[in-house]
Amino acid sequence: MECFIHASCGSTSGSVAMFCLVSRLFTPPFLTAASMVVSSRSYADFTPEATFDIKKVDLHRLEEGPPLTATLTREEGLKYYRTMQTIRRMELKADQLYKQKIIRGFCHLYDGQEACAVGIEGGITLSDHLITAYRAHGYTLTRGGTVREIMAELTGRRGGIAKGKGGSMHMYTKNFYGGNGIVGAQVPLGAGVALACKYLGNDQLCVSLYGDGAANQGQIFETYNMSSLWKLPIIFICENNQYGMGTSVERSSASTEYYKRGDYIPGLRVDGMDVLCVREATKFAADHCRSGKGPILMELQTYRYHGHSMSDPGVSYRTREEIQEVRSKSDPISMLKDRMLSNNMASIEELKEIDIAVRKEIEDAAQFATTDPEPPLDDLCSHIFATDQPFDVRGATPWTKLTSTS
Amino acid sequence: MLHRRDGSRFPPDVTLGIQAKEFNLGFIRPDNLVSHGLRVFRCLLSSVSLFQVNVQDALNQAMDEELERDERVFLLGEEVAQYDGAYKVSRGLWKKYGDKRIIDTPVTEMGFAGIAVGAAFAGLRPICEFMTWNFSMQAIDQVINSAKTYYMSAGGQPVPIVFRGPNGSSAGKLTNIYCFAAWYGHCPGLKVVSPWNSEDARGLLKAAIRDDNPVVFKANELMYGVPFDLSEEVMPKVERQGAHITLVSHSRCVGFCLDAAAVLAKEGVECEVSIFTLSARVCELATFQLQVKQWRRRGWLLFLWATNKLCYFLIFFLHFICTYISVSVSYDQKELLDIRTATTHLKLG
Repeated sequence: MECFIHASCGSTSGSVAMFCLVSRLFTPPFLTAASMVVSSRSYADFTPEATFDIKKVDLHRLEEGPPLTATLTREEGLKYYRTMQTIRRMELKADQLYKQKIIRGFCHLYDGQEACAVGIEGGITLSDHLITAYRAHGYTLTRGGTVREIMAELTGRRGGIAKGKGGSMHMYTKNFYGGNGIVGAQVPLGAGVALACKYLGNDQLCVSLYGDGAANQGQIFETYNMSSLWKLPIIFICENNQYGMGTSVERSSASTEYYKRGDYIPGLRVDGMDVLCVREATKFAADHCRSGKGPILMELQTYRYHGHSMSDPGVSYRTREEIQEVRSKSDPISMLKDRMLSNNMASIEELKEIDIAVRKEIEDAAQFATTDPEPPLDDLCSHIFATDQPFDVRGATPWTKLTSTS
Repeated sequence: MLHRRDGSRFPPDVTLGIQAKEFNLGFIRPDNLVSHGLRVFRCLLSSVSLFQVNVQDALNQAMDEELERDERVFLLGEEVAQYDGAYKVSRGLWKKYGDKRIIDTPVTEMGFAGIAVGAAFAGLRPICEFMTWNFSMQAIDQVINSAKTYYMSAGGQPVPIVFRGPNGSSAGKLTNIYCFAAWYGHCPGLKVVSPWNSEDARGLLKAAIRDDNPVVFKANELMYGVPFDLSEEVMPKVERQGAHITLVSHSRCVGFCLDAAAVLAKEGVECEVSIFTLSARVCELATFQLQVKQWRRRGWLLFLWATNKLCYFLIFFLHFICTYISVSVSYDQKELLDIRTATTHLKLG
C-alpha cells in the first residue's frame, strides 16, 4: 500500500524543499496496515515541525475516530525520544541489577511498551489521574517520578519513591495511584478516582489501565456498568501485549477484540507501538470524557520484549524469532528515531548525545540505588495508620514490641 | 432448660431476649443504685439530656451530622438512597442530600467497594455500605487491600474510608448471619469496630468517618430497633459494675452479658459487664486483657465472642460455674482466670 504525503517544512532560509517518497511496510504477525513517512531535505535548521500519517484506528460505537495525521514538533520529538529511551534503559538496568540479586522480589519490566506510557502522557496533563497494574515503572516516570527514586525503590532503599516500603508494584506520585498487585483490582479504583473528579467538578479525568490478561476479570465489567451509568470521566485502556503471563490472547479470551468488550462503551483499537498514534487516540478519548459523554475504552496493541517478570525467560510460550521480528520492525524508539531523522528534525549526533546522557543518568541512579542505606528498623511498623498517636505493635513474639508512628 | 440448684425454675420474667427497657429497669437495683445514680448525676452536671434513641436512628444521626459537616463525605451502597436503606439506617438522607451524595449502586460489591476506595484515594471520604457483611466477601480484596496503601506508599496515600453494615446473627435466619469481626480484625491497618448501644454506635461512626484510615464498622441488625439512652458525651465503657466476674464482649453479646449478669445477681454473684467495642483486633484484645488484669487482682475474666443464641449457653455456663465450682469470691485468689467462649466452629451460610 502506498500513499503520497506532504510534509510541511518551515525552513527559515526558504530553500527549496525536495519531496521524496519513502514507504515502509511493517508486517509483524498481528499488525496489518502500514505507516507512511515522507522525508524532506533542508540545508539549514532542523525542521521544527512535521506531520505524519498514522495508522487508522478501529472504532466501536463511534462515528468518527481520532485524526489520521499527527503533528510532531521537534521539542516534543526529542522529549518523547528521551523519555522512551530512559524507560528502556531503566528497565534494562533493572534486569541487570535483578540478575545480580541487588533487586529482589517481583520485577515486571516494561521495555517494548514505552510508546504506551509516553503517548498516553502526551494526551493528558499531569493534573489528570492515572492508575495501572504491576508493570508500573514506565508510568511512575511519566507521572513525575525520577529514575533515582524508582531504582532506589526497586532495591528497597530509603531514597526510594515509597521510602523502600512499596517495592516494584507500589510506587505512587501525585495523581498516580500505583502500582497494584491484584490483577484487575485497579480498574474499579480508577473509576473511584473518576467519581471523585466528577464529584469535585474539576474537569479532570482518570486513565485506568489493565492488560489483556486482566480484561476478563468480572470487576472490570462491574466497573464498565457503573461508570457508564454514572457517566464517569474515565478512559479504560487495555494494554494488549498479546500474552497474559504465559497465556496468549487466543488461549485466554473467547473474544480478543478487547476494544469491543465494553459493549455499550465506545472503543478504539490503536497501534500501541507508535507513540503518535497513542497520543492522538488519548487526546480523542480525553475530549470524549471531558465533554461529559462518559467512559471510553482504548485497546493498545503492543508487545513486551521481556517475559512476564524476571522469573520468566519469556520463550517457553513464544518464539525468539517473534520477539526479534517485533524488535526489528516495530520498535517504538526506532520508529520515532527514523521519523525524526528522515524529516531532519534531529541529527544522529544529537540523538546519540541524548543516549549518552540517558545512560549516564541511569548509571548514576543505579549507583545511588545500590549504595543508599536501607530503611531503618523503626520504619518497619510506621505508617500503619494515618494521623494517629504512636502505639505499640506486637512483634513476632508476644514480648517483642515495636512502635508505630503515622 | 435452666433450673436453680434446688430444682425450682427461674421465674418467667427472666427474659432471654433483648428488651432494653427491661434491663434498664432491672439495671437499677438497690446495690447498683448508687453507681447508676452517679451516672445520671454526672449527666445532669454536664447539663446534657438523656433521651432514648435506637441504634438505627443513632447511626442515621451520625451520618447526617457528618454529611452536613464535611462536603467530601458521601454514602454509597445498595438501596441506600431511594429505599432509605435496606435496614432504614439511611432514612431521609437521600431526600436531604440528593443523588450526588447518596448513591444507589447496582448489586456489584467488588465494583462499588473498589470505586469507594478509589474515591478515598482521590480525597473524598466515602461511607461504603454493605447490605450485610456476608456480601462483603465478594469485595474482601478491596476492603483488605485498602488497608495496605498507606503503609506501602510510606504515608503518601491515606485512605479515609468507612465500610459499614450489619454483622452477625439475626432472628430465625440460617443464611447471611455470619460474624466477620475476627476475619477483618486480623488485618493490620484496618480498624474494626463493633458497637452495641446507641451512644457507642453514634460516637464510633462519627469517629470512623473523621478518621483518615479505613474503618470496618459492624453493627448488629437486631440491635437497630433497640432504644438506649443517648447523651451528648461518650459514656463510660463499663455498663455494669461488679466485683466477682468481669464479662467482656462486643456487639449484641453485650446484651446477653447483661442478661446473664441480672440472672447471676439473684444468686449473689456480681458481674461487671464491659464493652470491648474499640477494636476486635487480636493484639488490642491482649492489651485490654492486660489492662484489666492489672487493676483486677482477683476474679474471673470471661470474653464472650459468640454471635448466635449464646445467651442460653452463657447463663447455663455461668450458672454451672457458680453452683458447681466455688466462685463466691475467694479473695485469696492471686491469679486471674481467663475463659474465652466463642461460636461453635461451624460455618453457616
